[in-house]
Amino acid sequence: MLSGRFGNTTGRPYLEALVILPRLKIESGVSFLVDTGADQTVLMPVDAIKMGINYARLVSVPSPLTGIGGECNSFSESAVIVLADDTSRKLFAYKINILIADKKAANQAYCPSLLGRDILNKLRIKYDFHKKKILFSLTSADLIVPLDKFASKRVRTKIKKLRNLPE
Amino acid sequence: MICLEDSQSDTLIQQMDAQATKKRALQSVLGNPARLNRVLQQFRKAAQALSSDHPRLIDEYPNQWVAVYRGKVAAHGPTLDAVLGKMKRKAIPQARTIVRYIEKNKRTMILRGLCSAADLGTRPGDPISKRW
Repeated sequence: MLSGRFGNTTGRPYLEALVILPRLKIESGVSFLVDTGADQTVLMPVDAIKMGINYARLVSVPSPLTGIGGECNSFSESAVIVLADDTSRKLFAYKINILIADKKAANQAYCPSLLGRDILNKLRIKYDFHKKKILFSLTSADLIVPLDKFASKRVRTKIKKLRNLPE
Repeated sequence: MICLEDSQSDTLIQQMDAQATKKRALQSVLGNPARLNRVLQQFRKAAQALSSDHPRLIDEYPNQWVAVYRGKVAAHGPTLDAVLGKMKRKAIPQARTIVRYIEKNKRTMILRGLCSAADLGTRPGDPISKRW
């Protein structure tokens, strides 16, 4: 089970994840707003700036990011999202194309990054606002890494042994 | 026993091949999982401070930007740049720190802010562009 949290004044549901941007060689923790209405996971300027992302190095997305009320420019970047399961002591990794909202757009500094359905569709969610509990369990992941030392070593060896099949 | 036609087995082999390549690439990106888990756990601890009632950050830092590291406010200030500057000076690791604006008046968020005020033809000072 992965535990999320609710903001204590806003009551908004959040889930913490590690975002790795391999091309930019950046990794950082990000607190994502759980948003079943978002088609894709979006990194908002507050987190992008904190992570030290250089916007000049990003590739613009042809179609703008659309929300209720309007659109803004965004950038697409290959990312790995890592979630930690405390009960089974495993890491879940997802390779996605994350959208990074343009920092020039007004008002976005206050907005939290959004965990969209590209990730949420691979999780089961138990939502109990009154008990202040939001729990996630896994349905699928691109890679599951056990944190137990020996199990982790076994998986690494197994993956190393995986070879591309002969043509 | 399952018999596959040549085209089906080719597709299956291609799929397995792609999966193997993807897993290997991911494994190399992740590097040391134990280290990643430590970073993530520390970040989660920092984020928990925003859900805690003891203390409520809204009482101590209303309308300010705060950086929370190891469950405590490590830097605060009136602007995001000011807080990031303080973090840099104190050598606080960004990966394990959460930075948020602690707003006294709760905004109602309906994703309205995904555009600039200019795009909507409203001035930055207008109430509609202040509130979500």
